[in-house]
Amino acid sequence: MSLASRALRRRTVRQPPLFGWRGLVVYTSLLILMGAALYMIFIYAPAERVQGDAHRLLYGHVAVAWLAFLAFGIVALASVMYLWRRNPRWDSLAVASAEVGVLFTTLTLASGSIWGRHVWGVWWTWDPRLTTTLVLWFIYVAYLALRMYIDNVDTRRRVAAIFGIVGVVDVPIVWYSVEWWRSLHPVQSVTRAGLTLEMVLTLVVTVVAFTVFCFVLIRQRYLLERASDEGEGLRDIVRNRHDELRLAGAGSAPEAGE
Amino acid sequence: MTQELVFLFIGYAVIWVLLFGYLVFVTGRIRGVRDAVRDMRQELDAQRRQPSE
Amino acid sequence: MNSVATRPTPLATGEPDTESPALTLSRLSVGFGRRSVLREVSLSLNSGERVALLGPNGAGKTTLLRTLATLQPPLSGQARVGGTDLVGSKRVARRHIGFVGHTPHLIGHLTARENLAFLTSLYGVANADSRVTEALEVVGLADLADRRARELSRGQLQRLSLAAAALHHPAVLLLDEPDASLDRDGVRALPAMLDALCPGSAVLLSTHDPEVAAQVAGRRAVVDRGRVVQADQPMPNPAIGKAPSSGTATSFFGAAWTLLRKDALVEWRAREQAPALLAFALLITVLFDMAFVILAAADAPAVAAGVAWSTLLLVASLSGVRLFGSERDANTLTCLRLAPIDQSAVFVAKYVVLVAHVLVVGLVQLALLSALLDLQLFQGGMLATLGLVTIALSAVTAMQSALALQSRAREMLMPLLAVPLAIPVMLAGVGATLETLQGAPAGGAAPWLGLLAVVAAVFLALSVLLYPHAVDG
Repeated sequence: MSLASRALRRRTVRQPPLFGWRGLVVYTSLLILMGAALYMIFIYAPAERVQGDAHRLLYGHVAVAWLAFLAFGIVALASVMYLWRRNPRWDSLAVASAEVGVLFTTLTLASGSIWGRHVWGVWWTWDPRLTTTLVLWFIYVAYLALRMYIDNVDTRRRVAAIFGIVGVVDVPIVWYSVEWWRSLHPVQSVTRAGLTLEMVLTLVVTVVAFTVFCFVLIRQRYLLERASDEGEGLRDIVRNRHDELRLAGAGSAPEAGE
Repeated sequence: MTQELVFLFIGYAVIWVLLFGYLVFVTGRIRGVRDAVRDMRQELDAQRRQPSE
Repeated sequence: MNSVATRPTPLATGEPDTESPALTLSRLSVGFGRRSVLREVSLSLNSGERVALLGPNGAGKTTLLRTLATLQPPLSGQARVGGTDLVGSKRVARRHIGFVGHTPHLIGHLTARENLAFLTSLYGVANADSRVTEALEVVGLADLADRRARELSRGQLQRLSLAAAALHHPAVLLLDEPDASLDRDGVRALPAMLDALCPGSAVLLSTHDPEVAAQVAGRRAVVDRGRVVQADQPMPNPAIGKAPSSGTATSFFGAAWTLLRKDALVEWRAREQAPALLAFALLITVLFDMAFVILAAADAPAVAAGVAWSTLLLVASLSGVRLFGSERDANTLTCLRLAPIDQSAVFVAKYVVLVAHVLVVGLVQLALLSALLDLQLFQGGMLATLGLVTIALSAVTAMQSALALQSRAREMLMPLLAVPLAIPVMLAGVGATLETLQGAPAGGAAPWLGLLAVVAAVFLALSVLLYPHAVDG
């Protein structure tokens, strides 16, 4: 019974930022940043010498790609922390980052593919960057699948944490293997032209805007995970109470002390 | 020129739609789960009051 | 038996507190996840005491005993064996605990004697041979010592389980419904067997039969409605026999070697994996060769490289998931988790067996491909590549098998987990093969071989570091 009362005394789920004044600040600044990024991408930044207007897609592409890698870095970090401290909050952060990371990786692959079709003339090429991103996508889709298939909550957290760490460690290995392998099958490489100051500024603003967006997403997903965790716990307690009541109904109920 | 703009439009549209769609989806789910948690809490409180009476 | 001593003698190792009872439970709650089955149990057993947990089915007796056997973590509260905390220093505590569960944790393909000998090595029991013989005689299985465990009857297995659990003379012996599969004579003989096997050990047994409780135990604790509702007072002067003396710690490589010998022996007797794997590899290779028949005429080395290593990846995943899975299916993983060894040793032993499997299949496959593609594949460079691919591939798949094992759908999940991580191994294998077969200048394959070695080292290090987290809460 002390178990139940302890859980009851725990604070309720905090308001997600969409509803409080903090939410107002976050979302207003997010909109302003995104608007600024859009303006700079489409109007402020000059056309590029070789690619013309197509390069404008790269601002968003670079931003989501960097955030995908960042999100997976957070997964690894949170996984290590979970195995060390065994605090479920770290696991919630890991799963939130993993899901957001998969989303951003999907965006990276999609935008890169669209750009590549236009500039290189192909939807896909086995460039180390592309290949590594694709492998990363596979690894973290597997991470999410693994979580789905483990029922025991403690086992799920432990096993997922291990896989989350292994996945990130594998990234540099994948990178080098693909880079060496490519020397066997040469492919077209990216044309590198000089960046003007306007381009750099545009890139910076876009990256900042998307980063804010990414952190908002991770936070929301984290809150969702915490809430469902709490729901799961309450469900267990409700079941416990049912058991106790059912048993207590039979006769001399051992009343819980402090 | 126009073809390039179509590519750009498609590219950014994909990004925006997915990002905002995900945000709306997750935020909606939070509300749902929070409601469920509140209901369970009330049920639990009710149960707790009953046996002592 | 002979009892002159008036107080428990210190346990063998790392026991700071000689005055403490053999087993102390203080406000211990056990259950699953956040759902408690038994709440705030406080109980204490002195050395030599035998306590029966009485209660109806589903009262939480098994959960309590499994928690005390360190198979699952308690929800709250504390349990100490001697002076050792059950959660904080699990490995030390395991040396002083013996556990007989509902289902026997014995290895079916080993004989009764081999089963016990295997455990003496894991627990570091002194005078192993004589102890095994003595234990077999006590439980009445001396005549059946050389019969395989799978051929024993349910009751005989129960006796063997008792011998196995008491073999290292634990300070605390936990028996989960020992009367479930023992006949009346067996139950009647139980106290005498306990006297002979482990005098001085505290025994906690669960049963729903008050008669058995009275026969075997001196004290009763009644479990009901999620609580221990009634417990007899401890006897003021418990009969204390010879103090339990547990074995010495087993080294990491000692444990790994013991496990490896066991795995090799079991595989040799069961012949479970090798024939199926070979047939599978044969089929896949032939299938690939048919599919790439036009390509093979133009560029045989490329086809050989692709076919060889992707087949080996499939073989390694299958073999890996089976290697860990069979242990889980046969319930023997529990036996390994009860042992006071570094759990990573279990991983290392499985890994070595996996390498052996994959290597054998790989050699057969090279021969087959040599014939099908008319290539000379048995040359230094190719053999070196095969060796390193095997080592690296096994490292990746063994680790993922250990993870997939914890899930509901391990066979389905396995390729999802292992294939993305194995991509570098595939690329390096193909790269090294092409360099070797296309007659590149000497040393052209060296970077690829280096990459394979790096993958193997990284995954092995991670596995040894993280495997205990995967199996043990």
